[in-house]
Amino acid sequence: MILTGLKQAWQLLKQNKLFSTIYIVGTALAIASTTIFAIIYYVRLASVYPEYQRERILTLTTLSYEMPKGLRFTPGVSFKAMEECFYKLSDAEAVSAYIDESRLTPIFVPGKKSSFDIVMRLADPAYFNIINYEFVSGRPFSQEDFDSGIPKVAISDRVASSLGFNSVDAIGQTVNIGFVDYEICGVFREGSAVNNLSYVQAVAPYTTNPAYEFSYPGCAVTGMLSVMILSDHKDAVSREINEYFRKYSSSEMEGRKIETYGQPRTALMGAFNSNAEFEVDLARIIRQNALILLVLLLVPALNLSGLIAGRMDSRMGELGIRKSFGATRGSLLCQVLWENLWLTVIGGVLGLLLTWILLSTDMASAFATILSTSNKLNDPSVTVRFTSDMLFAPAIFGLAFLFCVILNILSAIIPAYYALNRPIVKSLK
Amino acid sequence: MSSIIKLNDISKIYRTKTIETQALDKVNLEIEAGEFVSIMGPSGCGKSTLLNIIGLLDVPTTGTVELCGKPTAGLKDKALAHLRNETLGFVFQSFHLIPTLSVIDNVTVPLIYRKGAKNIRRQALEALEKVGLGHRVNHMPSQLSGGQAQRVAIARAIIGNPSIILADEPCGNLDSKMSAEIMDLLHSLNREDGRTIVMVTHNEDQARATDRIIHFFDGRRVE
Repeated sequence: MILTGLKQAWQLLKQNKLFSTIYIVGTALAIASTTIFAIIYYVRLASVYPEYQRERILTLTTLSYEMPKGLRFTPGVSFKAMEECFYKLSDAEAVSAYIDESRLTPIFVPGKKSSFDIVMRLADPAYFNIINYEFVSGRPFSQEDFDSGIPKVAISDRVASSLGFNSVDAIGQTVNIGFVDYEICGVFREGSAVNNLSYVQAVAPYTTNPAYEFSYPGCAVTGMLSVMILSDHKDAVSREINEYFRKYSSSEMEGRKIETYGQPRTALMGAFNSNAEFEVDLARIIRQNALILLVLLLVPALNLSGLIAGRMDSRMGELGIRKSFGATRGSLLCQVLWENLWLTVIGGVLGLLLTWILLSTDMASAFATILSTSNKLNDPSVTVRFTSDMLFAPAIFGLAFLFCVILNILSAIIPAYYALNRPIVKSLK
Repeated sequence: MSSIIKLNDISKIYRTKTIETQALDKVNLEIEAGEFVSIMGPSGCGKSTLLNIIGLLDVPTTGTVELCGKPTAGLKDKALAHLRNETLGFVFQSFHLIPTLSVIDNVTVPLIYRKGAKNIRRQALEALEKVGLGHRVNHMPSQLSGGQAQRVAIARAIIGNPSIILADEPCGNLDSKMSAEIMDLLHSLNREDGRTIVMVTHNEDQARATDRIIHFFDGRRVE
């Protein structure tokens, strides 16, 4: 049956070139659109570089408390809170604090007056235990560098290349980032800007920023730090954090509550909403995305179904002949689906190629902006890159093949069913 | 001799919203195994309808059909397909070869749908040799003459070794020389292999050469 379907599909392809071309191109576009959707969601949700431990990462980025005049204030965590609570969390495997520069930071090309903007993060050494950047040369800054506030920086391979260095040459060089001179201690492989949590192009110790110890007057546990925690025990970690803030507010803030908005939250929740103060309605997001996926599949399926119905009309005689000589409706339905599947698979392969081409160009930023909540994408100077492990993941191949099969069944089954239920005598006329 | 085909009170009425056409009217017919029977009559008298009902390609409005002593009424799609595959071989006026398949692939069609069929290609080659087309196996139907196409259709009809061959004006689209060749082939299948053949024809000479002629007029058998 499979071989017969393959032979028949090849003959049909040769004999109905226009139909085959339209069908294959239509399928390719449908597969490309669904695969782009799948890849972007895969990158956002699966454990991909450098977030290999994504399902264990918890984040806390924003707190909130009521000020004396009834206003609410939404700062981050202070260094005092990090020392008193977060760095001591008993159920955490690793805890890191970081400061994201609110705007892109200029980096100056050594020996030239030109500069370009990069995404910079100030963090501590534990950060590299949670976000697993692959260092192509050098290493992250050390605990001693951090403790002493020594301005060392790990930069991405793309930044190193833009600075005119190869990965090895860059180590030990001094660069000016945000008007501070840093010594490059390591070069890591850059991730994708689709990932809000891990996408940075330079990481330096936050102790190089004198403001890291700053805390807001009236609420010393709030400051400018965000927290990343590696743990398998979200509930226990949450309890410990909430207890710390509860005790602080009752003793130092006359009972005014410090709101954590349900944080720390999982990276999965963070992927759907970068603003911690807004609740994530996961069910609504799943419904919306399922609807998008359904439209992406159904619209081409209906178009292809019309094409197949036209072709089935011209093949009515053949179906009648086969039934005359003993084919059952079931066996013919299988045959039609197999034939169609081969054409769909050709379209699917082209669709995958199209996906890879589109996601390797500047178009990737456009797709990613539509489908991602990452605030890193809002700046035009940030370009989205999909690494090979994102584009060639087995899960993506599996999904693309699944889309092929669903598209094939959706587009072929109704016209085939109607054609096969036609009386043999009418088919033979 | 036993009846291999038995029709009891077969009627066929085609209905549309506005018109009702009686194609067959209480036809009774018995054909013995090994007979070569011709069905004759003017156009529209119900000959082809009768052949389609015998071949289980169409269902009668009333009446019953028995093939090889087995009633066929009420059989489901799968059982009907099985019976067509095992018992019947069709030769159509317009050949009805599948244009996208080669000659040999056309001939193999009945065996593709037969469970446990082995050496399908070898059997197809033998069938093609039998109709004198062993040298055209890889040609496409569009590359054949009318006579050659009908020979391929006969090879397809006999490959499954059916006991009954139903031929609907097998020479209708052929010139006299090719018609004679096809008729010789059908007679040899009847005489040498003992196959029962039911043939619809307009040609009196071809009909006279068969064992029995059944005349039809306005959906009824006439003597």
